[in-house]
Amino acid sequence: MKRREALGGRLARLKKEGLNPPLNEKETKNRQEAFGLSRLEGWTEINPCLWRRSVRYDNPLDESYSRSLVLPADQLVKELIFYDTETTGLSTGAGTIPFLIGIGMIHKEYFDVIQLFLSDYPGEIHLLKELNNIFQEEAVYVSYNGKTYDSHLINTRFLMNGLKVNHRFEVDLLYPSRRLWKKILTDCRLGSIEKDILGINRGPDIPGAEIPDVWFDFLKNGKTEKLERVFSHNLQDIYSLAILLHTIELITDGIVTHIPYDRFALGKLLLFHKRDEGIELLERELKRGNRKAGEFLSLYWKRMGEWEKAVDLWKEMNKRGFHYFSVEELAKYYEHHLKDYGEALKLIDKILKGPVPPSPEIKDKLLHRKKRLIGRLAQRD
Amino acid sequence: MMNSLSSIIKNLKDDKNFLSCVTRWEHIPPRIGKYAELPDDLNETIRNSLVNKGIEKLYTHQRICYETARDKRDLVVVTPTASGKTLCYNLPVLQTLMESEEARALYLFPTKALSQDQQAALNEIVLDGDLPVKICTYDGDTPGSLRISARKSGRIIITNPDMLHSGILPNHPKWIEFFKSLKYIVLDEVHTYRGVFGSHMTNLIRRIKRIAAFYGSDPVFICCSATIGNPRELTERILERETVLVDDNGSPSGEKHIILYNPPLLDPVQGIRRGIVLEAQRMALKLLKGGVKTIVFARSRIKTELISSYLNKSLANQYNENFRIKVEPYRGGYLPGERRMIEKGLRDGSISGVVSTNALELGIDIGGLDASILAGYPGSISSAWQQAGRAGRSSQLSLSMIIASSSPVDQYLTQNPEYFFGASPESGFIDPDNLYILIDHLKCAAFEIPFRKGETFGGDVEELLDYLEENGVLRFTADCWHWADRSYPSERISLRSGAEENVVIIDTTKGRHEVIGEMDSHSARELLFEEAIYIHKGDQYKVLKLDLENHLCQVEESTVNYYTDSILKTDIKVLEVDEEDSVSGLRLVSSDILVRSEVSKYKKIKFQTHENIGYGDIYLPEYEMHTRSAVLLFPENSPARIAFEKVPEELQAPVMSRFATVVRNTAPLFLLCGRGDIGVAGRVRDPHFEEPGLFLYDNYPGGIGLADGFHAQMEKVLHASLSLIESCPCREGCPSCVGPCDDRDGFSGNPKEATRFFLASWLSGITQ
Repeated sequence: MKRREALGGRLARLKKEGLNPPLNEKETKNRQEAFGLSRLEGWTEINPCLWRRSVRYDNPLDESYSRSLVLPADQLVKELIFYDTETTGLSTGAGTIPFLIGIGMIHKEYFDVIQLFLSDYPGEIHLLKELNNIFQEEAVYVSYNGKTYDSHLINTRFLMNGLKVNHRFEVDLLYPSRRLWKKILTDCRLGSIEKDILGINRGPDIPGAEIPDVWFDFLKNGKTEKLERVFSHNLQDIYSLAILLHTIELITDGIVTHIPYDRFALGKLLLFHKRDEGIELLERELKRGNRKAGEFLSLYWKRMGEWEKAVDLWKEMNKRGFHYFSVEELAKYYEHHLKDYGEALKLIDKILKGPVPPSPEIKDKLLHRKKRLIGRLAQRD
Repeated sequence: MMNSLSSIIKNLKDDKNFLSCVTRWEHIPPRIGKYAELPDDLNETIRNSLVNKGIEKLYTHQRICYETARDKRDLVVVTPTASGKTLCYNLPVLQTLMESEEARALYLFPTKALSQDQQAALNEIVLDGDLPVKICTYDGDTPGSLRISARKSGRIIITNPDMLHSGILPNHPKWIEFFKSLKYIVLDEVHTYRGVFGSHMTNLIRRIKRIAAFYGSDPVFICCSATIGNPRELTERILERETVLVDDNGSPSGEKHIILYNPPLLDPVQGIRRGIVLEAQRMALKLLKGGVKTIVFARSRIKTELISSYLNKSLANQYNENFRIKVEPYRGGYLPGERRMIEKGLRDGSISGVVSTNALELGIDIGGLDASILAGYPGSISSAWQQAGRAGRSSQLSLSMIIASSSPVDQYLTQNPEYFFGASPESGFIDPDNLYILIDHLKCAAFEIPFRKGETFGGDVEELLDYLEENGVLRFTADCWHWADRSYPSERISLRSGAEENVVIIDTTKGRHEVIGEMDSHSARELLFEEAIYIHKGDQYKVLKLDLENHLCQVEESTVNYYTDSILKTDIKVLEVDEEDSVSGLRLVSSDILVRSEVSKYKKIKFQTHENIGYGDIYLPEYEMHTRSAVLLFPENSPARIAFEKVPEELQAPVMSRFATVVRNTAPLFLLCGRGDIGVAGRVRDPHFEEPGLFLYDNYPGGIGLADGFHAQMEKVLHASLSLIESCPCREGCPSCVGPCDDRDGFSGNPKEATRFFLASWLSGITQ
C-alpha cells in the first residue's frame, strides 16, 4: 500500500497538468453558508434539516365512491393518503433520495397537503420517522406510478436507514389512467392527463427532468430561486391526484359524458368487475362499428355459458361482412357444443375459401380441424 | 481409436521433414490420481447425489478446498483443465447451504457464456439429488419476471462482474435478504482479472465487502485460477486479504505428447514462415482421418470458419456418408442454443472435430478430446496450457501440437522451449489504486452507501473524497460524504476498459458493416491513422477513416505489397520519482510520467525487401497521458553503461531503439499482457536523468501495474531479449526480434548484431 500514501500528491500533480480524473462536467461554485430557507414563506424547520409546510385546498372529493372500481370496497375517502416524491435522480438505486415529499389528506371540507423538504442529507432520518408517523398501516395510499417507483424508493430509504417498512396498500392511478386514455393521448404522464383530460392549466411549470439539479444547486450553491417552482410542482401533483381520482370515479360510474375516454376499455373494466353497465357500453361500441368490443362481449357470454347471446353476436357481426373471429367461434360452437360436425365443416371451408387467405400457421390449424371433423363425420356414418 | 493415435504418433516420429520443424517433443508420462474420502460431515443428500454420479472419492485438492473453505478461510485453487474444479467450490457451498436455510452464495464468472454453463452443471447436482437449493443466473439476459424471484429466493446467484457492478450493487437494498446471509463468493478464472479488468475487479470486491459489512455479513472467497506465475499474489491483490493457496493437483492424467512446431522458413530476410492455417489444417486432417477426436484453436473468428470449412470439404471428398466425420466451428457470436448443441455433440461423440476461438478455452464442459492443435500461440502460456489441456482424458493417450506463427512471441517460445515447459513465469499484475479507476469506483461506492469520515476503501481515501466533493459530485455533511449527483455512476463506467473508450474497427468492404475488432485509442493513433495498412489476425485492411471523437475506425480489405509504420514522437516528462533500485547492472527508477505523443508521418515499407517506398502525413492531434513508468537508467561505470559505450557511436541510437523494440516484444511473456498494453521509449541521453536509459510505461492512463510489476521481472526480460535475438534466423533484424532495418537510418554495420553485442556484454558484465 505504499503508493496509496502518495495518492494525494499524484492527484495534485495531475491537476497541475490539467489532467484531472474525468468527472461529470458541471460548474462548481463556492458554497454559501446560509441557505436562506427561512425566508421562504410558510416553512418551518421541524427537525434539523427537515422542513414542513401545509397548504389548504377545498376538498374536491366526494365522501365515498360506493361503486368505485379503483378503491377497495367501502373505502372512506378521508382515509386516503395522496402522495408524491421529488427525487435526486431517476433510478431507484441506493444513491437516489426523495428530497421532497407531498402528502395530501382530507380534513372535513378541506384537502390539506403537507410538504416535507430536506435541506440536507442529515435530515433524512427525521423525514423517514415523520413519514412513519403520518403513514398509518391501515391507510390506503394513492399515487401516480408509485407502485413501480416512489414506493420502492421510499422502501429503499427505510432499509438504508435501518428502519422497518410498514406494508402499505397502494392504489396507483397510473393503471386505470392507462386503460382509459392510452389510445387517446400520446403519453400517459400526469401532466398530459391534466392538460388534455382534466383541463388543468399549470401555467409555467418546471420540467421534471430539471428538478434534481434544482435541489443540488440549492444544496451546493445555496440557490433558492427555483425551489418554489419545485414546491408548487409537487403541490400541484398532489392536488391533481385528487382531481384525477374524482374524475375516474365519475367516468366509471357513468356520470361524466363530456370527457373523452376509451369506452371499449371502460366496458372491459366494468365487465371485469361484473358490472352490467359494461354490457351496454360494449353493445353501444359494437353498434358504432367496434368489432373488438363485440368479440370481447361474445367471449364474456361464452364464459358465462350464455350461448344464445354469444351466437347472436357472432351471427350479427358476420352479417356486416366476413368476420374470421366469429366464423371460427361458430365453428367451435357447432363442433363442441351442438356436435353438428357438418355445419362446423361448412364454416371451416368458408374460412379457408374466405376473402382473406389465412396465414400458413392458421391454415394448418384449420386443416387439422377439418381433418378431425371429417373423421368424426365418417365415424358417425 | 487410441491405437490409431499411437500409430499416427509413431509415423510422425519417423517423418524426417516433420521432425526438422519440431523444436521440442515433450513426452509427459501418465500421472496417477491422489484421492481422499468424501468428508464425514457431508450432507447425506449431497453424498448420494455424488455417488449416483459415480463420485465416491474426492481428489486430494478438492478435499483441501472443502476443509479450507468450511474453515472460513479465503482460498485460491490452481486448476489445470479437467481437474474437477467445480467440486472445489460447489461442495463447501452446497454443504453450507444445506446446513442453513438462510445461507446464500454468489458465483462470479468473467463471461456470460461461462455462467450459463455453470448453471447447467450445478443444476445437474442439485436436481438429481433433490437438493432444495434454488440457483439463478442473473445477467443482462435474465427476464424481468425472473429477476424478482432471483433476488428474493435465489440461494446461489450466478452472474458476471459487469452485472454486479451496474445492476446488483447499486440496487443492494433490493437484495437485502441476499446480502444479509451471503456466506461464499466464488471467483472463477481469477487469472483473467489482470490489467485494467483486474484493477477494476479489486475495486468491485471492495464495494461488495463494504455492502456485505453494511448488512452484517463477511463472505468467504473461493477463487480458481489457471496456472500462472503468481496465483496467490494476484488473488491477494484482488481480495486484499490473506489467501490460502491450493496447488497440489490430485487429479490423474493420461500419457501426453506435446509438440512445438515451427513451420518451415519461406523468407529468411523478413522471417516469414509457412502459414499456421495451412499447417493446422494438414495436421487436423491427418488426425481426423485416423479417427482421432480433435480440437483446433484458431486465433480469429474468420480463421475458425476457414479451417472448419476446409476440413469439412476435404473430408467430404474422401469419405461417403458411411464414414461420417463431423467438424463444427465454434466461436463467440453464435447463439447460445447453437453453442449448446455443439458442446453436447462433442460430449456424446457425434461431433469428432471442432475448430474454435479461445471461446472453448475456459471451463465449458465438452468432455475430453484426444488431440488439440493450436494454430498460433494464444497470447499467454497459461492460455496455451489450457488449450493444450483440452486434449486428454484421465487415462488415455493424447497429443497437443502448438504451431508457431511468425510473431516475436511465437518465435521466442518455439525456439526456447524450456521457457514453455519450465515453471510458469507469467505473472498477472494489477493496479487497484490507479487514480482514474479508483475514483470511478469511489463514486459508485458513495452512491451505494455514503462514506463515513475515517472509512477506508483499500486504504485511506479522504483526499480523494475531498476532491470529489470539490467537484460537486459528493457532499460532505455530518461527517459523511453523500452522493450528490443526479446520475447513476456505474452506468458510465466500463470494467473492461481504461479511462477512455476503445476504438471500434469496422470492416466496410463492399458495403459490409462488420465489427472486426477494438483497439484502445492510444494505440489507434499509431496503427489506425488514415491510409494505414492494418493487419488484423493475418488479413490485410486499409484504413479509410479514423474518427477518434466517436471511437470509430472504418477499414476495407486491401492487397497492397507494403505495410505502414507510423513515426511516433514521444516526449516524456518525469513528474515524480518515487522509488529507486539498483538491479541487473543499472539503476531502476519508478516514476509518474506524462507522455505526450504525436504521430505526424508514416513510412510505407515493402514486404519481403523492407525497402522504404514512401512517406505520408498523419493529421491527428497530440495526445497526452499520465501514467506509471519503470525507467532503466545506465549510470556511469554500471555494466549497462560500459556495454553501451562499447557500441560505436553512430550505432548507439539505432541500438537503443532496437533494444526498446525487443523489450516490448519479450516483456509481455512475463507481465501477462498484450504488446499494446505497454509503451517503450529509448533515450540515448535522457534530459531529466542526464543518462542513457529506457522508459517502459503502462499504456493506460493512470497505470495498470505493469511498469510497477516490471522490477521483479526485469532480469528475465533481458535474458529473453538476448535469446530472442540470438535464435532469430533473420540477418539484420525483422519484426520478430529487434524490428526491421530501415534504410533511412543510413548507418553502416548490422544493428541487430550490435544490439546482440550490447545485451550480451551487459549481461556478462553483471555475472562477472
